[in-house]
Amino acid sequence: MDLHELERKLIAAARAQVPSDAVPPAFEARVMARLRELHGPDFVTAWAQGLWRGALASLAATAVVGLALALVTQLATDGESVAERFETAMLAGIELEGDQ
Amino acid sequence: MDPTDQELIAAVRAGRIECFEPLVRKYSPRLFATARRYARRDSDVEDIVQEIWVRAYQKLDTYRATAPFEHWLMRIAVRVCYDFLRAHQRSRESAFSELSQSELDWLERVGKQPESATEQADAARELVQKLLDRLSPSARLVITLLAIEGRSVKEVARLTGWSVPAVKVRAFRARAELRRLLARMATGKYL
Repeated sequence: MDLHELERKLIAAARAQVPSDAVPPAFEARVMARLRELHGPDFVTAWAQGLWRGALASLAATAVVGLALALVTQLATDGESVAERFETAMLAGIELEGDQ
Repeated sequence: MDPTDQELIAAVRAGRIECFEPLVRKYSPRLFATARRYARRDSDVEDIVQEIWVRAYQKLDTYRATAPFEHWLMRIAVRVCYDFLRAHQRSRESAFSELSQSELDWLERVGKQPESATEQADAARELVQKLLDRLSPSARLVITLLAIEGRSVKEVARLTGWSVPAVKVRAFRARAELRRLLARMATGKYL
């Protein structure tokens, strides 16, 4: 058998067979319903996004409070030198006669 | 006046999902005709077309209006059909089909009196369908686009996302695969 001729005839048969473009009834509605499902709120994603936002806000608040605390500490200790503060700390535990 | 595709797409991007429906209505016939080249069962065809629309909707932000919407949509369609063929590859490999008596008669006529075996015969249509079902996914895709739909290599490259040399190599391999199957069919009378 001539295989080239067989191939030519079969390809011609496939070309002659034009597929139908008929759309089943209510197909658009089915697609749109599926798309609306996809478009709807995704609770897991929303929850994860909320957690991330909360974490970032907490970090920012921590940074602000930390800065404020450092600033207040700095202001409270202003006027005393390191040597004076060291001396105060060292002598804090010593009890003098007149104390009691 | 009906809104243009670009206007509808802009509205969908702005959150008006209902504006996608006219696009679905307009292009579904073309997509059904395409999907029916790769799947025979109605349920499979419907699933393929629905998947095309879902992907089109999800990727709508990537559409650039430099080419018609239909061209962009057809690229997605070909990709989804190819994925379908790959997903059903296992059933293709395990399938074994004997030829019917009418198919054997048609083959015999091709051997003895080629002019009497017409391409319009039902047996020829059944045979070519069985033959296509037995091809590998890439071979089937290339044969369908190049030989059956009569597209150029450049068009196939654009539709599949493969390079032009890759399409040529795949077309060469597809032809070889097709001829092996034809030889088996002509001598062994099975596929």
